Formats: sequence, C-alpha cells, structure tokens
Amino acid sequence: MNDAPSSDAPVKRRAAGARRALPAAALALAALAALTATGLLGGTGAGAQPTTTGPSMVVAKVTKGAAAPSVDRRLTFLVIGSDSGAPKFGRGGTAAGGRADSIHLVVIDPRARRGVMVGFPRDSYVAIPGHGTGKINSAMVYGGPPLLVRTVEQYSGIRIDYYALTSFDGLTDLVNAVGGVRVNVERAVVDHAAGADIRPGRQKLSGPRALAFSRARKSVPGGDFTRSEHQGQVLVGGLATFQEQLKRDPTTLMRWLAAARREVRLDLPFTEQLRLALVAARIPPSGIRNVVLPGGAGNAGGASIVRLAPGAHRLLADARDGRLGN
Amino acid sequence: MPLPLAPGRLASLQAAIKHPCQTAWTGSKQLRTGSNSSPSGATDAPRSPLDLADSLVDSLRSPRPGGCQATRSGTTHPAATRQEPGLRPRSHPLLALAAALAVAFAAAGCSGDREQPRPPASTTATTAAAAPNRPSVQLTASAKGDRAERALKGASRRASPELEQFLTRYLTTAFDPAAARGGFQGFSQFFQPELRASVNRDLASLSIGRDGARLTEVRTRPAAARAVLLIEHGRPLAASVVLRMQGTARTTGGPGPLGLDSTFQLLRGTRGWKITAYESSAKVPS
Repeated sequence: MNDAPSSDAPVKRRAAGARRALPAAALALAALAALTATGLLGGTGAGAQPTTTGPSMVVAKVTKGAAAPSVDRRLTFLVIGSDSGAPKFGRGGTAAGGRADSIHLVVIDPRARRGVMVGFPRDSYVAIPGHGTGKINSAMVYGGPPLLVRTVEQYSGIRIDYYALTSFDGLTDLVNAVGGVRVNVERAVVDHAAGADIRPGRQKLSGPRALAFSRARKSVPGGDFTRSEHQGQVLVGGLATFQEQLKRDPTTLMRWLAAARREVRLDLPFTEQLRLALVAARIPPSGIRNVVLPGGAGNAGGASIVRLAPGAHRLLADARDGRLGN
Repeated sequence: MPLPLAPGRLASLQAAIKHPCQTAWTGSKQLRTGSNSSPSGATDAPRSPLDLADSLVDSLRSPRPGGCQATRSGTTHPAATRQEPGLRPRSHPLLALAAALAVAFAAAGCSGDREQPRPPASTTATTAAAAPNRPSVQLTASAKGDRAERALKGASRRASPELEQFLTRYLTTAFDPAAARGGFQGFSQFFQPELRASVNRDLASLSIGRDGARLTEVRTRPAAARAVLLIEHGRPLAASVVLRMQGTARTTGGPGPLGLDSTFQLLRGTRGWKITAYESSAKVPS
C-alpha cells in the first residue's frame, strides 16, 4: 500500500514530463521542417550559396549607376547685377532698366568640368553697339540685358548663350532662400558705404552680408577690381554651397531652382534651367578660375573710367579658345 | 495519418512555428497592407514560402515593440491574449506530433491526399502559385515655388497622386521578372529620351536588371518616397524624389534580399513625369 503511491508518482512525473517534452520536440521538428520548406536553411534544390545577409539568404548583388543630361558644348553666360529694381534698398525702376554694377562672363566646359569667370569692371570704357563708346554698365540702360550681352560679345569675341539678371533685393533674397553661401574671405572687408564688416576666413554669408561683400569698393585695395573679384567669389561660393547641399539632400535642387526663378531673370526655358542646374552640380568650384579684366583708371569727358589693359584681351582669348580653369 | 492542411493553414502553421512574433503579426490582420496585398486590402491569399522568408527577415531586422520583446521578457504573448479562452485549442502531444509530421511531409512534397497532390517544391511551381507582386508607394511630398506656403501645400497635395502613380508604375515594371524576360521593353519611357542610352547601361542599378529574368518570385514592401515639387502657377514643373524600397526575391538558389535606393530628378512635361537625372543602386539576389 505504501509502495503504490511511491511507485506511481515517478510514473506520473515521467508522463507529465513526456507531455511537456513532446510538444517541444514536435515544435523543434516542425520548425526544422518549416525552415526547410521555406528554404531558409539553405539546403534546397541547387544547393547552398555563400551568404551575406545571414544563413538564410543568398548573396545579393548591388549595382550602382547615375546619369544626368549631358552638354557636349561649351556654355557661356553673362551674370548681371543691376543697381535698380530693389525696393528694399530704395532702388526704384526695374532691374533690366538700370545700370549693370556687376558683370561676369562665365564660360564652362561641362566635359572638362572646368570654367572661367571673367569680371568686367563696371566702368570699363568699351564700344556699345549703336551708342558709340561708353561705360559698359550703361549698355543696359540703353537697351536692357540684350544690348549688354551684345556689348560683351563684341568686346570679347565670345558668343553668349544665356544671361541671368538680378538686383540687390534678388541677391539678398536668393542667398537667404538657400540658407546663405559659404565664401572664403581673404582679407577683412570694412566698408561703411556698402554696409560691410566682414572678417577674413571661410564663412557662411547671409543675403545682406553677401551683398555688402559684393558691393564694397571704397575701402578695399584695388577698388572696383577687387569688388569684381569679390562678386566672383560669391558666385563660386554659391556653386560650392549648392553642391554641398545637393550632396546632403538631392531634393534641395528644387529649393535652389525655386529661389533662382523667383529672384533671377533668366532668358532660357525651364527645361534648360534644370539641365544647367544638373550640369552645375558636376563642376567642381576649384575648377573655376575667378579673374577680373585688368585695366587702369582713366578719364573720358570728365567721368572716371577704366581703360582695359592688353592683358584683358589675352584673358578673353584664353576663355574663347577653351583654356579654362585654374 | 497526416492532417489535411490547406496551403493557407500550412503557411499559418509554418509562420507560427517559425517565430512567435510572426504569429502575433499575422494574427493582428495587418498582413502587408502595401505591396503584398490586393488593392482592396484582401490578404487571404495563401502565403508563399517567400512571404514567410520575407516576414522572417522583417522580424529579424525590426522587432515590433510589444511583440517579440514582450514575449522575451515573459509577458503574455499578444496572440494568446487575442484569442477567446474557450476557443483556444489545448496543446495535445499527439496533435502537435501530427502537425509536425504533416509539416514535414508537406515540406518533402508528400501528401496523404493523392487526389489533390501538392505541387512539387520546384521554382516553376512557386512562380505559378505566387500572387502577382504589386508594388506600392507611400509618398511624402512638399513643395517649393512662387506661391505662399499654404498654396504650395495645396498644389503639392493635388500633384502628389500623379507622381505616386508614376513611381508605382515605375516600380511595377522595374521589379517584374516578366519585364526582365521581355528585355524591359518600354522601361525607357520613364526617362527623358536623352537618358535612354544611360538607362540601358544602368539597367541593373535602376531595376532588377536583365539578370532579373531568372527570379522566380518577387515580393516588394511598400516603397517610401520623399518628394519636393517645384510648383509654378499652381502646377508642378519638376520634382526631386528619394525613393527607397525593400523586398525579397527568389532564385533557384533560394530567397534573397531585394532593394532599390534611388534619387530621381523629374520633369513634368506634356506627357507627364519623366526622369531627367538619376542616381540609383539596386540590390538583387545573385
């Protein structure tokens, strides 16, 4: 009597243990079967292949590719900054009807991924088609951007594809819209007339500071020539900033395009603008040479002018003949 | 005697055995609401082995909060809590063993039901049984342009469906083994004409590529797209899109990961959207 319970108890325990163990074994077996059925153990059909993502997956091959519209020819732009059409700065009229304070001939070779940016001192004394000889900045007053384009074409012997025109307001708003431009300021620029107080060094300039840096001439060595050089630095800095932002987030392209279309007058259809923006994304800023046509101070009819030096023709000949870049 | 198991039940059982999280997930009726479900949201189709593989990869990559982690910490499994106590089958050793044997037989391609033989576990059969892959895109769009912020929002909302449709059509073609077998005829229509030579060159980075012809099954998860549209006069002119998609595909060697990571610059012309520039990488089982 006494043994019975004691003999039964282990049996019951074994049975209970068996009940617990059997589902576990079945579960393991079923899991094995399920894994085999789904091929996750790599033992199916053609045999296991080397893995990269775990024991259950075959090797994945990653392929990369990129393409953007290509431009096989050299591109030339005239980038114009007007002294008018900027209500925020008390400048009336229209940008296209004002004087061109900033004139840059930009020649880009997309295939070679380099270019040159030639600054024209605004007082450069040149022939203006249909208007004799005068300061180059007055060409726009006589005939708008198209006449300025023709004036530069005639002087340089370079055909200009497109022009881009902006104003004080346009530049400041454009720079603000893209979050500032990064510029390498070589020397301190302090110019009360332009509102500039900028320390040297690589820095991000807001819209108003970028404009002040581009306008300062009275207190900087080289005067108008240095001013034109600074304008080129802002343009190259803008290109660098554009590329940095695009690298971080490709969707910023739309922000730049939207800002440019709002603040800059462009004489080209949108499809071409998009294409050029994509080309600009591939030109390294270091491949763009920023130069200013050399010349000396002069006088014509009581007005101070700049007489361009023979070196100006050499620089333009280089640009015309494709000797670009740094 | 093996229990007669319908393919759907077999899949459920496999899923239940495979990973506790999977049971919780499939039980919650949130079965792949994007790519693998029909547009109406019906998800009753039998889950293929590739689905299960996909689910396993999914669960390993991103454990669902409250599911797997709760189970590991000893909390009651969500699947168990959803079932009514009276309906919950009691675990019986014989039942479990029978189920295991049934699964094992099924896995080996055997069945007690000779009238309706299960298709052999060959890749051809898998292809025939597989439901067509239906990629879907979850688009998040914003806009830049010449209007005030609110107007831009409205314009981007109006323009989004068409862009989403374009991206969905793109993915449907790009991840279709049949399209690969057909040489991706018409795929270049998604691009500007001047890019078509590049597209031909970069096909493997934009799609499953020509090698995709040997994929027997493709399953894509809903793609995530982030777009910034350029709006003028209330209409879209262009867009930048960052598109990411993952999935699984089966080759004769087994399943493997599938993926697309692309940046597209698009132009909206008279014939709708066209890709004018791209930077793309695609991952396909080799």
